[in-house]
Amino acid sequence: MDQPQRRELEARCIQEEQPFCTAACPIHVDVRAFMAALAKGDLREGRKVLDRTMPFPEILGRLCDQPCRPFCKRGEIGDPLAVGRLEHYCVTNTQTVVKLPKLPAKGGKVVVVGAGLSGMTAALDLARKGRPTTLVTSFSGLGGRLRDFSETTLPPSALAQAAELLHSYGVVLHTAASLDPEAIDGLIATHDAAYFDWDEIAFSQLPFAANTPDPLTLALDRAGCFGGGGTADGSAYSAIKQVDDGRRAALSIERFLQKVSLTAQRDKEGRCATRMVTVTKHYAPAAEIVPADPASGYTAAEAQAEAGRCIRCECLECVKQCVYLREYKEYPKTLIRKIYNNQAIVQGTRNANKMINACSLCDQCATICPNDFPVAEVVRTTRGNMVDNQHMPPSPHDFALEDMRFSLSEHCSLSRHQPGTASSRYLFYPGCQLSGSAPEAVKRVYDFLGAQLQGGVALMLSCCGIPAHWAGQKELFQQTLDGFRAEIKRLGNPIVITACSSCLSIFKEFAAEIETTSLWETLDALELPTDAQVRPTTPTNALTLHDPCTARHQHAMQASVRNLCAKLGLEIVENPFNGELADCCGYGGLMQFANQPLGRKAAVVKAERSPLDGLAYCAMCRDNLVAAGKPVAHLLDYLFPAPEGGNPLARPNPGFSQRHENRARLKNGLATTLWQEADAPVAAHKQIRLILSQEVLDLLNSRHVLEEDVQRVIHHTEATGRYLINPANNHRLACFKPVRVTYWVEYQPTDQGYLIHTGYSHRMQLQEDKQ
Amino acid sequence: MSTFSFLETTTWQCNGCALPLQPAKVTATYLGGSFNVELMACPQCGFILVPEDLAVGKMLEVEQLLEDK
Amino acid sequence: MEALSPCPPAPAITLYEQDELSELTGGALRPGGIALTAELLTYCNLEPGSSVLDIGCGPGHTLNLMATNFGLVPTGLDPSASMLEKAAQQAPSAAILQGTATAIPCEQSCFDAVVCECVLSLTGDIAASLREMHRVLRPGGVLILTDIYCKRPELQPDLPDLQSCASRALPLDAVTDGLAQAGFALVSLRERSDLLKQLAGQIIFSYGSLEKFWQLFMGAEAARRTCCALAAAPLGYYALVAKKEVRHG
Repeated sequence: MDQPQRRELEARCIQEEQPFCTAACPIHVDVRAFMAALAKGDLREGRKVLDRTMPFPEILGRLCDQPCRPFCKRGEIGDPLAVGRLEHYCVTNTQTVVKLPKLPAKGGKVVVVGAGLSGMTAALDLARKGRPTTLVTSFSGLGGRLRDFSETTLPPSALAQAAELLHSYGVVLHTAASLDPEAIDGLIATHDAAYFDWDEIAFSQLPFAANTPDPLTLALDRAGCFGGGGTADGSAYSAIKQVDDGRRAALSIERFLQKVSLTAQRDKEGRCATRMVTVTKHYAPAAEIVPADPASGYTAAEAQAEAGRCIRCECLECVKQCVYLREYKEYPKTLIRKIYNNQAIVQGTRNANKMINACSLCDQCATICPNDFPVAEVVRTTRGNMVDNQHMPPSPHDFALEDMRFSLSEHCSLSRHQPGTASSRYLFYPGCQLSGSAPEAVKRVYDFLGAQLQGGVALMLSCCGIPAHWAGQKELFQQTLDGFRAEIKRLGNPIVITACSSCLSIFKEFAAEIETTSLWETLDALELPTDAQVRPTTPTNALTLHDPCTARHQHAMQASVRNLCAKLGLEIVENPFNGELADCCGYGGLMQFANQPLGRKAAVVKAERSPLDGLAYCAMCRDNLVAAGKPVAHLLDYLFPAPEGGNPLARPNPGFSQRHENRARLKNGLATTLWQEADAPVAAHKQIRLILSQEVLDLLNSRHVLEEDVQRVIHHTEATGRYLINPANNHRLACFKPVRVTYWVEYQPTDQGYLIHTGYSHRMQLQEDKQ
Repeated sequence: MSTFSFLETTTWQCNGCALPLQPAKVTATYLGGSFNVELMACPQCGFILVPEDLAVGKMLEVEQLLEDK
Repeated sequence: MEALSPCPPAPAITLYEQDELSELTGGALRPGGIALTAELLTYCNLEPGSSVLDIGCGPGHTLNLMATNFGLVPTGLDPSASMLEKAAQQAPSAAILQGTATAIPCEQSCFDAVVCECVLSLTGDIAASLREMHRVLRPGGVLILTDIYCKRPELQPDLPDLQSCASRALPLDAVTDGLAQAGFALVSLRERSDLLKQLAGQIIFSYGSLEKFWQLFMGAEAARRTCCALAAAPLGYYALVAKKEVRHG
């Protein structure tokens, strides 16, 4: 991704957009930060915030007419914040904390004619930029209309402070000046630019014909002359309008003196729009806190309470739902920045890689984002680049890719026309995870489809390649797809019926020329299997339905699933994160392989969207939710119940080893029973009988040690007799390195088989130093 | 280079040789990194014991470090 | 690393910790350890009796090696008095000087060779240090220089200001340019980042993790930041030999 592309992408994330109040404020006071400070009772910090943007806080803080208030989001859930009153409270109880620096003196003499608040603001801003500025008024002091306010509203000290401040920046004040057109003409002639404050000056006093100033630049018809402030015919005096104009004019004058465009890129000045989005529905409404004694304003407690009502508007909507973004404490804009830096390095380092490999690629964030920020796309592309540049470390994805290769191998894969036919109108593609998790269900579904659909139903046991796609292994993924296409062609281009939404998403995106549909839509169009009417295992309570993340945009499938539930009489309840907003269970993007604890967190979040037991129609979702401690059944358990009965909600997570076993047995079993093929020879080591407690199974599972690896170790050890023994308990400890990894197993031979106590592995190779 | 000793009293014995394990100097290598470690091994046939906590602990950390490019 | 002591304002390191750490690489806590030093000295094939200056000599393992194994006449330079005390014990025959690389307290052209291992990036003014090294070498004398370098210079600004050599590492071409400007001719330059990985692996075997190692030198939060920063801006290690041109170019 190049710089412009990256900036455009980053811009889609609105987290850093201005909150509504700041955007509506002509001078963009950071009201959010101000409220945060006052909510803590930190007046000094609040004053700092005001000092940074407000000219003369002791004036404006008392008089501002709050154009921000109507935009305060708190107004949607109660009353908008009393911004003006809180600012008043702050400036009356603090002195200046931050004095902005003055830039080194430059040329460009500026005269400000009329010392109302607008002129004062222009003079201050220009003086800070280093321009020699003279402020001229016909009155005895500065302030213009400000001098008319009562002492309680605006104490004289405020104006005195302002005069002192201007003086400290080198502004020269001329009072009691005569300001007839001739005098003004003289001022214009002796300066490089001029600003006229309409608070004091009328058009008629100008030595040239003036039309209304240009609204963007406040330029008048004479070059270098600008005008603003005052009040438009009859409307009330607005302090903030004075400041807005004064600031705008100062910027115009600065541009004029630098001889650059007066108009380019000025859209962020003054009040502007913001793309911020803030969701308020989770807040309880709260009314404004009004001072008990209006004359004396807020007490400290009242001010703190009122400021505490601020909801600190920001977006972070995607982060609120995503365990991954929360784990790495990023929001999409900062995440992309981090990833971009890593990509620019194109050097693998463990922390950065783990972050890139831990995203589930589920697209929930993009769906939530008002601007569809495509985190998944960027992350997956980055993984692909890392693989291409050989900077992808092997361990995060090794296991999952080996699992995929196993599913594609002759041990597990199968692709045949329906027995007794030579052509197929349909093809059933259960997918590798369903075959691994519920092989018997696969058989029952296939039998049913074969009987119900006309024209022949082929069967393909395989893997669609999504693990390679997620791992950034483009070549491997392409090979897998090519294999799939070739087989479909060989079988005469049947309609592919997938049981898995992940497979469906892959085929629809990358093999769109092949007609594909979901098992659920197919079943929805058929008469239900008769024994589905017999439901000894129907749950007594409603179940919450869990859509898988890859089914996010598959609306027809989602609808069919719900129809099937209704037909079965299964009472299901939606949870707020279904459909388009579905969470990933941890399998997506290979999250649980790259960051096992995070994968578990994801499953817990998904499970806890509802207190009820669950119903899933994706095998991985079901297994992962069960592993997270939630009873969850698979829809097929009710559609095609097992003849031996059993509670679908109590079926445990099979684990990786059992999935391997199941896939291989499914293929072998179907090949021999349906297609009368010879039994595949069973490798010697696979005949070794293992006895494993659930605890040991879980441990091996988490260490990615397969039961087959354990069998290999024992097979090798018993043949060579090389093992360690613990005479106290007769445990044996042995190791074997089939290819790259050395596996260790602690075990004990018994009459029923080998009792396994623990297993572990390492990649380091060891050799004794021969001295 | 110094040697990292992971010796511990162990009840494991070599079954083939019927001998208790003794400390042995071993070189552990992976992806170009090479470390001198001291582990328990059979004095006769040279079977080296890699204890579980070492394999899933420090050894795994070093393997991952060496894998990073 | 032994060279952390002259790094201002590094936290104090107890002598005990220094000793323990230096055991990791056979006496010198730097990538390649004393073995690399020996390899480079062998390569240079200095005549016995040659005078050699070790800049940043620390506790004196290199001084001892040079005197004992190579029959050289070593001089050790270090800003730390406590280090020099240990060096005096380790290498009793060596001359000991207190000072920094940027202002070497020696006459010009008084050494046949200069050794500066894993120290240059800490000297504060690399150009000045190289000039000084050039000055004290006799014409035709050799410089053995090893140090970390920054593999991704465009990322260096992103590193937090750490009290360690990581934030001072230069890109490799900046080092070679600096050498040329100081009047050195490059004889041999080897990329030895494998030694850095090796050292990191040794640290993990000793301390359990790199972060725990950094915690010996700084607080827990700074240690974590160091690890993250090093993860983001990777370092390499180089070992080079250069010669002081006989005629000034």
